[in-house]
Amino acid sequence: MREKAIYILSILGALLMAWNMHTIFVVLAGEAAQGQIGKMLFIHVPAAITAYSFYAVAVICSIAFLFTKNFKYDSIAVSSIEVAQVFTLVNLVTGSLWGHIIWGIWWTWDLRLTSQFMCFMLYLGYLLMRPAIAEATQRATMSAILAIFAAADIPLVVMAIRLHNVRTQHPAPVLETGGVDATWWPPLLIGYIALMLIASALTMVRLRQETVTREIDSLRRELHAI
Amino acid sequence: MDAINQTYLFYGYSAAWIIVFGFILLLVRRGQRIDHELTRLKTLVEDKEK
Repeated sequence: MREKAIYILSILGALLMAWNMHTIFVVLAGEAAQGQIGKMLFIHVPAAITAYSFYAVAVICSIAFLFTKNFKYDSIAVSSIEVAQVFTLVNLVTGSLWGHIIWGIWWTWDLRLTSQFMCFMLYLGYLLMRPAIAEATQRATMSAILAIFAAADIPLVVMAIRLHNVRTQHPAPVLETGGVDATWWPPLLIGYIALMLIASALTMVRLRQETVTREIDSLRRELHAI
Repeated sequence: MDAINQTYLFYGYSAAWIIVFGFILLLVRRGQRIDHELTRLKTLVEDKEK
């Protein structure tokens, strides 16, 4: 059943993405002020929102683990974070390439960019910390606490371009201020849906691996006891 | 200018797909490794129980 769902999600995501890429590269004209590079928005923004969606899943599951001590929640949290990290990296790289053309620089340490980079580093710390703790309950508890604390950075990323007293290089939130042409909304939304489908499939594959890893741990203990 | 824009747009999307496919490759390799380990341990447990 799970395998079937993974295939369906992957195929749907890939088809939607292929159709969207055709729209982005062939059908749509370049942005009025930025030209073709403005189309980076179609991968940059959906990648960020996909990442935040999966960080949110991880936080909810981490809280659920702390209350229930059910390892299923820990597995979902780590799988979601690993996939979210992939899309955060996509967001950072595409943003940097866009910035190189529009700003003339690859990177700047302003609040938006720095807080997003911090988000990536905090969750990278989460992934690097896990193998360092041998005992399963302790590992899951520490991971859950770190996942919840790291999420405190996400409102900062979101608010960085909305705070009036903060000067930032990053553009204002164009999605909310009507800065996006009406013809750009469908590919933007389809891009988000496609990435969510692909990310969900990847999370399910990762979750299966986490389940098998737990089975391996229990077999090792059993072997030790024989 | 638009040619450079187009090139960097292509770099951006290529980088995105390289990152995603790199992760998929990582998942496949890890999956193969843990499946192999699971089979090995199951055989070991069965052998020890006999």
